[in-house]
Amino acid sequence: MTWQPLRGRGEVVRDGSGESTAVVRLPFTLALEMPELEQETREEDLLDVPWQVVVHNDPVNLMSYVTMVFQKVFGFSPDRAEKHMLEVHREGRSIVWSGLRERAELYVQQLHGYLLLATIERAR
Amino acid sequence: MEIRRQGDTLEIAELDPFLAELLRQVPESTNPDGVEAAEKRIFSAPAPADEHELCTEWKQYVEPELRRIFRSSTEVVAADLKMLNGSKKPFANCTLHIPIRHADAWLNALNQARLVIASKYGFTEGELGDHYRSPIGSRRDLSLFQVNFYGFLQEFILQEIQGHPDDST
Amino acid sequence: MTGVPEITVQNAQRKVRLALAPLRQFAVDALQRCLALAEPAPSDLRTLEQVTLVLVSDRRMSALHAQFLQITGPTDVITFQHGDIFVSVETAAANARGFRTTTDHEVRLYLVHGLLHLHGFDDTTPAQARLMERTQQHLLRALTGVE
Repeated sequence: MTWQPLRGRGEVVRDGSGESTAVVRLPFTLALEMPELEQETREEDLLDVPWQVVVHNDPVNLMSYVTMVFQKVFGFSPDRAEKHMLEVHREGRSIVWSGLRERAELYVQQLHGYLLLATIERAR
Repeated sequence: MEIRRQGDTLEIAELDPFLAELLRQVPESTNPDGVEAAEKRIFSAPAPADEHELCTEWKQYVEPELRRIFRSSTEVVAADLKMLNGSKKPFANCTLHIPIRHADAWLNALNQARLVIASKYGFTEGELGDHYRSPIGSRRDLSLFQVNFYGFLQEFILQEIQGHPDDST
Repeated sequence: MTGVPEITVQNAQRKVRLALAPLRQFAVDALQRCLALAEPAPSDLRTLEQVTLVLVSDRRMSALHAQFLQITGPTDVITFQHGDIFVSVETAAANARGFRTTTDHEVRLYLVHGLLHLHGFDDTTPAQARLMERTQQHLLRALTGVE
């Protein structure tokens, strides 16, 4: 990554009476440039493919119940929990979490404890 | 039937004998009874079928813990339901009090029962959503009513505990 | 080529404040400890000249997730064979809340996870995952005193 701080520029301002004041214009600005991956970086170069927690639809589970479980297990806000619940309801499944394998397994276990249909899957 | 919250208790009053009996059946209804579809649903696979090793280990190490959780919920509900027994007037309406701290156990047991019954009878999404259908005498129709009645109770409990975040156990 | 790659930490996000100096020292220590482990499979770590821990936001991680895996949403860590380990600090903070740890601990966990992947460890099968998890916890405990 490279960054170039754009430093504040100082200048002398003179008013009508000839008085001068040194002014430094701020703020400093940091232009953060993301390291760009090389053009030839491919999916095969990925070593660490995340694991996903997928919740599947079941017509028996109440929508309100599923929403409650998402809030309890993942700490989702009510809006986010409802968004994932509706995705399960309409699309048949929703990826509710992505990350390290052992944590994904723990989440799936918790979801099974609430009787939701949930699986752990590799992202590819 | 009247349902209301009274302090730290959920009160289901004026329970007629028919609904009271349905409630008494909650613990027993959570038992898959060896029906494969019900067992498979309650103890669903944690991964796609080709993940043999994970699924095998899951059965060995995780499933016993899930059974313990489900059994524990059912036992809490069974204990609460004891107050429906021993009435001097068995055909009179009765009242059930559920401590709010038992709400999670009730939600769990009711969900178990709904899933087991639905799996046993293979209810479709359409049937489950048809809340205007009246039981017309077949055991299957009665079971569908049972699933929907338990769902109604779940909705009420959820409404009450979400209105009071401190009640979450 | 066998040697010790240089490891650097680049903070490309402003969402979450992190103490970078101790993290940089941790990265150097973690790399050395990883290299001292016997690799279960061919190790890229022994041939790389440079390893970079890139701290990003959820937005940037989501872009990587979509670009390389066609998946919506962020994740905690993505590691590339050429030595870039991308960590979402926002996800680290969220996971810290969920798992009752700290953001600093989560970032270190993901860095160790990425380094182990570069060193030939994998989590595809349960047996591999258990070995990797045990090694991960052992390293974290040795480096931080916390699991």
